[in-house]
Amino acid sequence: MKISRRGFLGAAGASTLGGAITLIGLPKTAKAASVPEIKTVETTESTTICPFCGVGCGLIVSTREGKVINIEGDPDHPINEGSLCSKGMALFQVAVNERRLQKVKYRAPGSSEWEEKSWDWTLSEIAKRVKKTRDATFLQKEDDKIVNRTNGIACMGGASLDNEECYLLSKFARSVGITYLEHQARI
Amino acid sequence: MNNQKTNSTSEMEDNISKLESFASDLKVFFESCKTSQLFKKLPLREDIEERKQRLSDGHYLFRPCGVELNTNESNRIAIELLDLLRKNLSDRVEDLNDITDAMVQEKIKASDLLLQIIKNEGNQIRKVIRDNNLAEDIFTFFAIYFARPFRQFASEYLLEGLDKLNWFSGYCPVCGHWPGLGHINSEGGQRTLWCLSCNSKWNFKRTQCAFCLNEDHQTLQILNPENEESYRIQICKKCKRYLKEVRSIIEVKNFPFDKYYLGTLPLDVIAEQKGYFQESMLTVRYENSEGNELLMYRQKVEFD
Amino acid sequence: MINTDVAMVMGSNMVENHPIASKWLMRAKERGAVIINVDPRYTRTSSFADIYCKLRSGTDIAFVNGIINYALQNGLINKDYVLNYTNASFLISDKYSFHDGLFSGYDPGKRAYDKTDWAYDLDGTGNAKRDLTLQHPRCVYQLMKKHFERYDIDTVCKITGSPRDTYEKVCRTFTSTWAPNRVATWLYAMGTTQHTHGTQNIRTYAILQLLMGNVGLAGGGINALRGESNVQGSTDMALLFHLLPGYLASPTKAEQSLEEYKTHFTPKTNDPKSANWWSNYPKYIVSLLKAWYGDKATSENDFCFNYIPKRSADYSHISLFETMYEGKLKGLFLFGQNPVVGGPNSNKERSALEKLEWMVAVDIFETDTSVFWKRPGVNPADIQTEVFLLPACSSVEKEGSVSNSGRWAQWRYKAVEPVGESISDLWIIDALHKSIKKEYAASGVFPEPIVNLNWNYGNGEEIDPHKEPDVHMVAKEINGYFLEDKVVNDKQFKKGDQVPSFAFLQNDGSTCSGNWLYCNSYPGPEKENNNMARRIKEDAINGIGLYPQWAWAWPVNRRIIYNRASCDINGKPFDPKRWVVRWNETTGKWEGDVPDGPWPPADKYPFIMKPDGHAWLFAANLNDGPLPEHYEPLESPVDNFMSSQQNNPAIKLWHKVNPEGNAIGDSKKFPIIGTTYRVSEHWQAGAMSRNIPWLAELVPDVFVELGTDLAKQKNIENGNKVVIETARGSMEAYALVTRRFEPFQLNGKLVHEVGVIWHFGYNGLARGDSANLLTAHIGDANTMIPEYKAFLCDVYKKNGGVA
Repeated sequence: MKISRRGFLGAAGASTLGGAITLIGLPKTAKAASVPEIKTVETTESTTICPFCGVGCGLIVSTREGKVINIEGDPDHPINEGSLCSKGMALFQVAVNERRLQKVKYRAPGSSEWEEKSWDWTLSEIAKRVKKTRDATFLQKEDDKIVNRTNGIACMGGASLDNEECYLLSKFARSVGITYLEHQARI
Repeated sequence: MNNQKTNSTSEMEDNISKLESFASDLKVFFESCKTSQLFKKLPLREDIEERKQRLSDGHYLFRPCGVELNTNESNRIAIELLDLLRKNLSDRVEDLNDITDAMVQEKIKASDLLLQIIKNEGNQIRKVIRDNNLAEDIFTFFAIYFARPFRQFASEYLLEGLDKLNWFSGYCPVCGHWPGLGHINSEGGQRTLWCLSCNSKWNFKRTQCAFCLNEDHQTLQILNPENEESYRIQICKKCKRYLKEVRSIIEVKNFPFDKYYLGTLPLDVIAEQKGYFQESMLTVRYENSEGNELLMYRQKVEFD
Repeated sequence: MINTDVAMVMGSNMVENHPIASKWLMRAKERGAVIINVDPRYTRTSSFADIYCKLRSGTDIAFVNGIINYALQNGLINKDYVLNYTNASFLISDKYSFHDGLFSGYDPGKRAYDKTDWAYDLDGTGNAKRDLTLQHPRCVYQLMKKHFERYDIDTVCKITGSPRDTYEKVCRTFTSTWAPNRVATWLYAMGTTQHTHGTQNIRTYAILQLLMGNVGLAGGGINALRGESNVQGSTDMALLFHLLPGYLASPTKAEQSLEEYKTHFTPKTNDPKSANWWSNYPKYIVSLLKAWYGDKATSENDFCFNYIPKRSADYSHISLFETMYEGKLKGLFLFGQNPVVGGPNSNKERSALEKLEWMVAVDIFETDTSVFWKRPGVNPADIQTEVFLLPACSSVEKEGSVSNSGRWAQWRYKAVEPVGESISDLWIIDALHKSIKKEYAASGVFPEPIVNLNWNYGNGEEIDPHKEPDVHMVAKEINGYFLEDKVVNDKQFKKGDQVPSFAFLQNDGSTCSGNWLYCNSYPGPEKENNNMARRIKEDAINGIGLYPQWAWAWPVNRRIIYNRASCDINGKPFDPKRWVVRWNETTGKWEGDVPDGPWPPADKYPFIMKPDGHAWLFAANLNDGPLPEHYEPLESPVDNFMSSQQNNPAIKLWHKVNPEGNAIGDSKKFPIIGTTYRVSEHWQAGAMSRNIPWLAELVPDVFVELGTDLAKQKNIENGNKVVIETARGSMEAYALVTRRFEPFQLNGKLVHEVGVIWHFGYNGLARGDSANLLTAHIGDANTMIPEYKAFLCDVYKKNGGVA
């Protein structure tokens, strides 16, 4: 539904509480356009849910130029109404933390160090190992009954993954034939 | 803006403190109006349950039809306000004198004008301005503050007994106007919107545009002048409207909204420079307070 | 919570660990609610409670059984509710009996019960016989009276070590909520569940709350305070071996066809008043199979049912690590889990990891588990496990939903791009599937379940870190959509339409749904239709705090489940001041919360998920008995006062099955009760919180809390470095000497208890020994959750020995 803007505006230039621009000492005919541009920064405020306990508090994340500059409780969330516990208040230091993993790491057999690797290499190597182990341990039948599972691979996690991630993990793990499928809910 | 740069104090704070005397004059003025008998016949007010229901349905409470104003008080208040403005807006004295003359000569009757303002008859008011060759910007300014004591009284009257408002719209629950300023509580982050026209305050969700109910964080942004974290503008890229906000440690009930409203004028300048606007205060978008405005509003009206 | 009159916080220290939830407890208190807290230690919650009652770790059943007995003996029950909504009046088979700690049907060799001994006594129509006067000696009510009468106050206090007066006060206060206009809520967490009888602990709460008529009411219920932001969701999506999404059973070897599966798991009833909602099982399993195998799943091939792996045993956490220890598990995926700190018996579990050929750990920080190969005390050269550590992105760097303790699925947004090369788990799982599928393109063992998987989330076939799967497509699949044009319930649907709710799911393959419980979360095609993203602050007309348009709750946005039980059989709320739903005669509809089914009040019983429509006071499906009975924790300083059955007769004794690394201690060598708990500043296994500077600074070290008496006895002062030792391992910690742990008087014997916080590990900014070096591989009889909360230990000063 469109409503004409003109229906709601006064004469051009009178849309703000006019004349008050003079309050800050500008000459009386000055319009906004002739005021030198004031430098501004643009911030986005998006909402998120705390990744720690299961209460599900809301938070507002402020980002500027692609970086998180502040995280605060969401005052409009019916559960926490803006308050946060010490962990929620520290969420900023999860987003901004030099200890965050930023590259794939690989540890070779017997090695005492990590090596950095690319995603491409890593995914193909993992897939090879999954296939090798699955082929070696896959059981199509047990006592003449179909079981179609591998007891050689286990998958654990993750109670802080999103629902959509958990769903895909559940789907993925079963497709591989994994039955040793567990996570924090069990313990 | 003067060229003095002080690194330690904020420029915005400077601006605000410059207005200390103006704000104080306004405060005294509004206080004095409280003791007058402004209304000969009060606006219609239902019992608490009915008012709660109206608010739940999104209908704002003030209905000016049937209201009768005290003529003598109207005249007195108009003149007093004009004196106040002359004192504080020294470089607009000529324009203010034009208005004064028109009123003294009864080319504009104070109580008639007041009713027009309260009824949001923007077109009528603009005709008055044109007919009398007055400066529109200063007249608008005068008009809003002229009606303010009356609307403020109505607000307190109509909100009596209602402590927690079940109100989720961006426009004022009393008079239907758009908010002039947003207050964000430093502790807790709640946003309260304030109506310049009647001094009402109401809670409103942070992450939403008051004007079109847009909640998409990618089209809602916060602009603030560099190094002024407490003074900001919420802009909506969808409807192109903006709202000034002040983040303050002072609680809402003690917060001097009028002073900050005037003092944050640079924010209005910024918003305009960036292409955002606000609708005229002389009219209200949803004129029929009984109408389907809530429906229109919730349908997330698009604007051209 | 705000609506409650009495809040029982037992098995939880919520002011410490769920501080924001406690805000609502405080509001309730301001409105006059009484807060009761039961805990072995005087915690932050205790300091806030009106009544604090101490109890020895592991004796919760005795404690609550005593309250149940108090209610039954004094007639403090909601008679209407109990009679109409529970199985109190149902008659049990005459084969049922209970004697000296054992129910009938026990096979000591198998350590298992033949549960058919506990079945209902059926009438000619296949329904249970009932005695509505509740007098019949074999009706559940009378059996309960007999079972619980042994739990008199004195007996209970001998077992639990609770002070008699306080205990009686608890009984009186809590049972005051039998009245229809009074309600109590039960708040619990790991203190309840992490025992060998954890399930029965919860059963005691259920029985008591049902007798009080508090289930389904505002401010009532049995409420688990979940510990992770999405453990509710991860469980709903079935990341557990025994489930499929939506709490469907994962197939066992006994189900060789879909028909057999449907027959085994779909409950039946002959009572027309029982809604028996699980009778819809076939619709849900078929819709799930269609979501997973798409066009490849047809009625001719059983919808690819046999592609789903079938289980033949228990594959839960403890079992998983035991198998790993034996060298039978070659590969392990870890998605945001840190078992070397969080799993029981750390020594054994850490050694088990060394037997893996490969490990893939996906996390946002370098976890203790991911560096198990260079942990203190091992030589990396001896460990051949290949480890891939994949950088996942944090919650603010991706978009998706998480489900909280109230079943609210809340959508959250991506604020910034992931740091460095870190990326969402969604992308990683998508990439893993595609990579493995590629490997199986040419050859391999039984590739069909992988290559035929229905998997298309909008980012093409190639793996590209710049192309994320579309999370909205995943969410829409979870909700489900129509696979062909169809008319259901007089409504026309087109192929591709989202299914509006699970009432529309079909048995014939015309619908797909990844999780029937979430059907209705995303019922339309646009982002605006995503119910989980709603942020409308208005409360419902009953003003009890439902916030029905804030996000979305399963099932179908019902906020309080079993809410039909909040009304009498005429649809009138038991408590009109805090009504949840009520029947409107004029409109012929329910008002308020989404009701548990639209049927008029007396048409259907309220507990729709049970085949008989009634809540089970007597629950014949559990492994360790239909009624809760006190048994001692596996490691206990005293004999079982109730019977000669020392421990839960149905638990798997891992120390007998696999003795290595599973030693059990006795009270001569380890006379002190040990328990574990949490602090507010750290979170779970510490992989996040111990890498956050602010939090690491607040609690930088692991500590053991002990009482002043014990400290004096052991010559330990506050701040000393001490060693805590069990039969399985030992750890070092700082001593925190307080008055919060008082010794227990147990039938004349004085026993001390100590507690260790368990967040710590050898990696991270804040480091320390893991409390789980002390705990055992022993789990609950039904769930196999480890008994972290009660074991035997000794404590002494480091480098000083015992005083």
